[in-house]
Amino acid sequence: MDLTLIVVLVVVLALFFDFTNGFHDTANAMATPIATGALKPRMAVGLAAVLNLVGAFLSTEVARTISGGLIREGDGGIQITPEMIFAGLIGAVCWNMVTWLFGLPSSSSHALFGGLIGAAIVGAGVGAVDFSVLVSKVVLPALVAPIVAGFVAFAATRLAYAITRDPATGRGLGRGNFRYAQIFSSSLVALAHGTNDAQKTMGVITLTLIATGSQAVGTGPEFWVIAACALAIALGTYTGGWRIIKTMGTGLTDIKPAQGFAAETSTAATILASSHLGFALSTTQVASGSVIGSGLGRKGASVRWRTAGRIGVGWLLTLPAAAAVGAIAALLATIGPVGIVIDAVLGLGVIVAIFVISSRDQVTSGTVVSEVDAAVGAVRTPKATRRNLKKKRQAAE
Amino acid sequence: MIDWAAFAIVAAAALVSASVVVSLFAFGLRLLNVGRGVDADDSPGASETTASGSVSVVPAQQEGRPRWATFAAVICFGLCILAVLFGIYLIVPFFHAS
Repeated sequence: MDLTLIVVLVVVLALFFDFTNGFHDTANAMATPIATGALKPRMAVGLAAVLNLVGAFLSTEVARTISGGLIREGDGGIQITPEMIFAGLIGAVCWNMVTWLFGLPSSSSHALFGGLIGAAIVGAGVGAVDFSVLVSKVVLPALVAPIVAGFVAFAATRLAYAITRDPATGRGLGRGNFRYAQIFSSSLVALAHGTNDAQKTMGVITLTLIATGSQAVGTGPEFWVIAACALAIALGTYTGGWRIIKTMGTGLTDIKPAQGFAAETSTAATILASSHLGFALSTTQVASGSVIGSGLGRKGASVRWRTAGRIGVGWLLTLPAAAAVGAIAALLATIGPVGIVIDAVLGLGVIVAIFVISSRDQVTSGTVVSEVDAAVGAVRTPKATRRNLKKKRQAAE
Repeated sequence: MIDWAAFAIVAAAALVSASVVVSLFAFGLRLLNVGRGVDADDSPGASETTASGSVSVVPAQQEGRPRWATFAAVICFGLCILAVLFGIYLIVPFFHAS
């Protein structure tokens, strides 16, 4: 009955991975609107959570093809065991936690692929991994994504500023109003993210259920799997990876509404174009590229290349690091049930340890806001909401 | 192998669509500002439009702005809304399932 225990472990760990995926990626859609004050932090993560929840129910296309190609399976290939998936997930979760601790936006998909690849190499040898697919589907898109998105966002930012420039004085005309558009552009990114990312976990759980014979080969994810994954990613999104939001919203460059709108539109356009016309690009890498591009596009804005460099190093390390952890976990798992238990305990230990370390310098919605306020507060007039107007009137009377 | 043609198409499509949407919204804002002053500052929240109390994207007709400008701005924003709807259409597989 080890089989059922391992299935339960895989499902729990997969859902936890989904949760980390959620709070890791809140920043992709919501870092820029939070940074420009288009949306209040709690409101922004709430909106993203709802859109992720809705998005997860919209499609199961990605879930059906999750293992497609990367790990050779089926006839003549290797038999994927739940133990290997478990080990792979440990690698993915650990790396996601580490990058979150450092506030680095890194691709959760790369962490997942890395972990599974590491486990597959230990479990079935180097031949289990199709390296040409790895290069063309994972490594190259990772290089291409930020460059394309950065260029698009650069052009869009330039256009936004050129069009709203007063020809006589060279100053801005109504640029603050780009904030209203940001709500829509960032919502699109959040929805697109929801239709993609929860599916990876659904795919992993379904793969496990099929591998253990609990589910017929070739069938899609069951409803409880879809619902559980949707809830896990939405909960993660709502928890908000404030560390990463801080890095993306204020760490790379100082974002103004026009830039934020340009960056989010570029992110949405690049992701939609890539998923409909060619290869899938990582949302995280596209979004980071867009923020840098919009930083380059505004005159007087500077991009903090040190932060960008740290993020780049994080991307390079993601796959091999998750693979290394996945491989070690898989090695332990080969011992047998005892190894699985050791894996689970060690994995839990790492997660708890990182939470403890992170609590030393907490980054919360409050921290993010105060920093944004510090940046723009000096010149910021109160938002003309009905309540504020009423206050103003009362004060005048 | 790497499909460079697909890569080029993705880059071009993203560039064109993002540029068009951002330009439309920017033109909309620019048109709303025809006959009005420049931003007090380029900083977020400090623009005259927000300070003067117009919360909606399309404020009511105000003195100084010709009717055609308001009309053209509304068209720009309308096209932006269409772009958002098209985005949702692309995201939700239900709408374009083959």
